[in-house]
Amino acid sequence: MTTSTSTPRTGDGFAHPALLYDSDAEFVDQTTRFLDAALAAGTPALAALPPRNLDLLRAGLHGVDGGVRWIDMAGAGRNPGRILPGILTAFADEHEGRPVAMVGEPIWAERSEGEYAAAVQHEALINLAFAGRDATILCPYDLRALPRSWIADAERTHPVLIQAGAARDSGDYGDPAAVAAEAVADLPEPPAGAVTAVVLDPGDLAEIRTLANTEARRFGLSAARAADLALVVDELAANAIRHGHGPGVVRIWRDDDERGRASVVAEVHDPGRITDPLAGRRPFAPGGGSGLGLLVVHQLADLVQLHSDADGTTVQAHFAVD
Amino acid sequence: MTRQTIGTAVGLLMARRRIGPDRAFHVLRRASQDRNVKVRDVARWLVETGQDLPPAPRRRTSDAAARRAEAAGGAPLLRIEPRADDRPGFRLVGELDLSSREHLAEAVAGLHACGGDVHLDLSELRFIDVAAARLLVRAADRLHESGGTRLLLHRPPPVLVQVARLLLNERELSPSDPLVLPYCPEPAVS
Repeated sequence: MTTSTSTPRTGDGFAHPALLYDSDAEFVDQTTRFLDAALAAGTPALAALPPRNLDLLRAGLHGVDGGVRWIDMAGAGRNPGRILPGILTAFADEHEGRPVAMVGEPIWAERSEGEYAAAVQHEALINLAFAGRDATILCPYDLRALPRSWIADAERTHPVLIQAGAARDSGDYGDPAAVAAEAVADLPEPPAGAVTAVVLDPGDLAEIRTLANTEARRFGLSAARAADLALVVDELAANAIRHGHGPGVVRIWRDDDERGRASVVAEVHDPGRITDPLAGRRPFAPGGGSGLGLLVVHQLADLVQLHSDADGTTVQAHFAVD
Repeated sequence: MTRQTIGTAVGLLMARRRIGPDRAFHVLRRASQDRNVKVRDVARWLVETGQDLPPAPRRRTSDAAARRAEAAGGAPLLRIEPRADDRPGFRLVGELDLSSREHLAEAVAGLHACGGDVHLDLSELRFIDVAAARLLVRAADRLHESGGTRLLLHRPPPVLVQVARLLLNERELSPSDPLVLPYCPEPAVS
């Protein structure tokens, strides 16, 4: 258990190992090794973890954590679609031209099914977003708490697995774009009673916003969150009109997930296809292309599920009812 | 090809609604008129999605909305008005979305760097979408580059602050009144 298997690489391209740990001690041992090595080499380091592991790791570093950027993943990464633009890529861009070392744990046992699917999509897309960059992202997975099938998914999204002190190549590592698309291939169907409206031209947007706002309030969102939902619907519907080559169909309903947590879901479907799997997942660059609307959608919603294929694009944005 | 698609759509409507071909074509044409899109586009949508026609939002295209607003003595979605004082700039009243974006683009193109600041009064702007917010931020950059002029956004809606935060890569940007662009953050404390 003392082998140093997760030393961040430097000058050696991108590494994205999963750390499959089965005790707090192993988690702390491996992640402190990783961060200590980074700090010793002067490599900028970041740790984005759920609060409990954040505390464990900080304690494990015995206060010698000057320079590590600490992020509460449960908050900043609640919507997995925010993790790349808001945390990982943002940090790497901040240190452009230097290697970076990051610990990112986007998956924990309390994730809902919808959040989990989006987190798998995110894990797969990390491989695309960081291809060719000088970075190491170590992703801890808790073997004690996570279902076996979730570990199997980790083996598809990580080229390398670290377990019981040893690193091995993952035999199941899959094509990132394909794994990402597959993770969210089966979006839940809106219930029969979902409010439905169609948007065909820009003149429809004002009324759709009013509808979205009214429904969101009726389903229990605060005025501020209902306004956020209306903006999200506006952005998605405007995308449908501009890029979808056809009508956008808006549906809004209240969803109670398998853990009894309620949210208002806004879905926009259009016949267009988003060919860039990283759309909305790059930090905004002044000279950059489009995708800003989607970036804001990821920022505002508590969960975004986006699936796009030859049949069209479906986006479901969730807003938690507190 | 188009003719075939329309035929298929008519067939779908006949089967689904148990109506005759004439009635089905009427439904299709009515949907096209209601939504101000070509019959073939409605048909293609029906065929591609396999779904029935969702209820249209009570109709108004941009033109129809403008006509109706005019007829009702009401206002268009966005009005660009002179400021109450004589400072350079204008007042945005209403809602700023894809349908009114060009209107805003023309107005900001008319802003020129001057000795002092340019002031936009947003207190009566009820909605602004992301692209329009980006337009304002870009206009601010242009004004600044061409003569050091600042763009002051008075009473910005929360979403504008949110978008500015993303556009400026400035996580800590807090709602301030006015929002001064280009935004100059305090030196970071490390």
